[in-house]
Amino acid sequence: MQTGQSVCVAIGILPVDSGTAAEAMDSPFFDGFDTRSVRVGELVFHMRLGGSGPPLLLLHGYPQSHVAWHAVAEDLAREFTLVVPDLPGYGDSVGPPLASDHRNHSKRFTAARLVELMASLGHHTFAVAAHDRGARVGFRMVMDEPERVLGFASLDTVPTLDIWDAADKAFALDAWHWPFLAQPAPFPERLIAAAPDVFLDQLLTRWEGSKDALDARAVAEYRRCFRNPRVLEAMSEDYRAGATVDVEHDQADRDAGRRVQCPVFVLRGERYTASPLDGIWRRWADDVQSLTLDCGHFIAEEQPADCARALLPFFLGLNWI
Amino acid sequence: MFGCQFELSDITTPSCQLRVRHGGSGPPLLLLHGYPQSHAMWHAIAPALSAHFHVICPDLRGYGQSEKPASTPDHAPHSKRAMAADMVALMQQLGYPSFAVVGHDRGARVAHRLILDHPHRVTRACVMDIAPTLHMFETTDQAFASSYYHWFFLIQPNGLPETLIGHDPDWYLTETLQRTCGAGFAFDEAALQDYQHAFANPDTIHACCEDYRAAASIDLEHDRASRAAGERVRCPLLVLWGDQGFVHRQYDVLAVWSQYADDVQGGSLHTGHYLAEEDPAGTLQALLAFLPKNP
Repeated sequence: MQTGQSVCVAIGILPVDSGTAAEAMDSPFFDGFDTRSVRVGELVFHMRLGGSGPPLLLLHGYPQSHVAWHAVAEDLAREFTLVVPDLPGYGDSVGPPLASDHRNHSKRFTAARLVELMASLGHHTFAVAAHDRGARVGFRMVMDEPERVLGFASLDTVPTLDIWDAADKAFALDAWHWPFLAQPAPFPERLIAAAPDVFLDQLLTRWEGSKDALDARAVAEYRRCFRNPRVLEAMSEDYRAGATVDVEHDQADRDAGRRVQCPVFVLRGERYTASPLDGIWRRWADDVQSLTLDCGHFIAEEQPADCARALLPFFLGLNWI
Repeated sequence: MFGCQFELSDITTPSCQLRVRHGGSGPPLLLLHGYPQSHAMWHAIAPALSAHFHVICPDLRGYGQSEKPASTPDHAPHSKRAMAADMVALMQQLGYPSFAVVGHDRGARVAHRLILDHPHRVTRACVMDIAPTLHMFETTDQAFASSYYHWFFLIQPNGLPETLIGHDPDWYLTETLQRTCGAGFAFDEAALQDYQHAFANPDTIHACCEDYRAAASIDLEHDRASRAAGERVRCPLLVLWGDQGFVHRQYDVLAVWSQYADDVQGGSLHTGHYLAEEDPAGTLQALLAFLPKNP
């Protein structure tokens, strides 16, 4: 197999010489993919690029990085040109400065920058597969820039507004990290920094569908990133936006009756998400299909073959222009 | 703190050894502190109360310098029932088969359970800045989960909160106090040192987490059983809260308590969460008007 190479491209050209990026290059994943760092405004997206065919953007979730797609990337790359970035501030991407109203970490802000990124790579329309926090960005992109996104797969995620609307004791017990991470800076990030490995491992263990379901090399990569205080800060800010400005954006869409224009494919890991998500998505979108898989929250890592087998026909069946 | 009319003792009850500050003369008045504090939180009002009452301020089990009982998977040693039983034993030992009780925060939850489990022991009660545990859990929404994130964080298993808090307990403690008190308030330095001294002990941090784990499990079982059995607060209940805090914003406080108690009165002070420290004069005035003094 071809060895992955590091390439720096405009919008901004960045040397890939930092220790973190060098470590990331040693990653056993994404064989044959390029590694790039691309500046978009004040952000720098660290990403993998590979495959051929129509463009497909893959967005990971919390508490992870683009590596979350490692087990499906090869299958998807046979049919699609993959763009697999770390979300702003996550992994080895550089996030924006904190804003007091959390607007710089709103899903709207991130979605707009990712659209710019895709355009800079020559992809003016594309499809999106996204998990967890990434799926919140994907949803916002679909709502804000409907002409860009031809199809959207949401892995184990419903819109933020629906989460908070349904928040009750069971939610707060299960998703306790939502209110915890949304506490004012620097409280949660400083607490987590006391024992990042312990914190990360407890979340991964709780959310996976079976013991040691995740590749140990991927977990090592998540740990490396999670030990970076700037990553912890960006993650908390993502949740602070998720408790405030993101909810306002979702509510404005709901109040205005705006709907998802493209086909939506909802995957659910039933060992983590007990109830079907289709009903919630049908309140936002007309064209919804769904699939339930026997796994926990990390569908693309726990059931990569089934996940890729499901995603391929959905994305191939889109109305590619 | 507290002055020379108070003595500080370790009192061994059959269930637990408690650090207790007590003094004054008159009818017995039990003051129960909350999280993340100790009996020292009563320093600003206890001396004035001691002119009218024998004021008894213990550290709850696990908190302050009281004994840290071993925890169990069902959290029973940190249930409000166990803490309430400590208080009955303590007051019995001091010669008081019945008494008035004032509780703040976790101490108010202990007071609530004490009234339900031992209705003939409690003559009058005051709860400060809480709604009943059952009500708060049953009406959980985004606002509650966000403001009371610690109810869900402190109950996480495998020692996670203990590890994170224990890394820098002084910072955590100060930050927590500052985030929940009224704007511009500064805690008494000696009281703060007492809280910090307790939190320097990992066993205290664990016991406090166990208090919250109990609240989310076994305490709720007890509360549901009490509700099913028609148990209510029958004694006069004074409910006080701070108008700069979450309880004020979230709940129709007196109406909520009226679902759990027969004889409810009260109102808000212009404070954050720590009424007795932030507005000792207002707190005293409300308590002295409510509690029957010696003729």
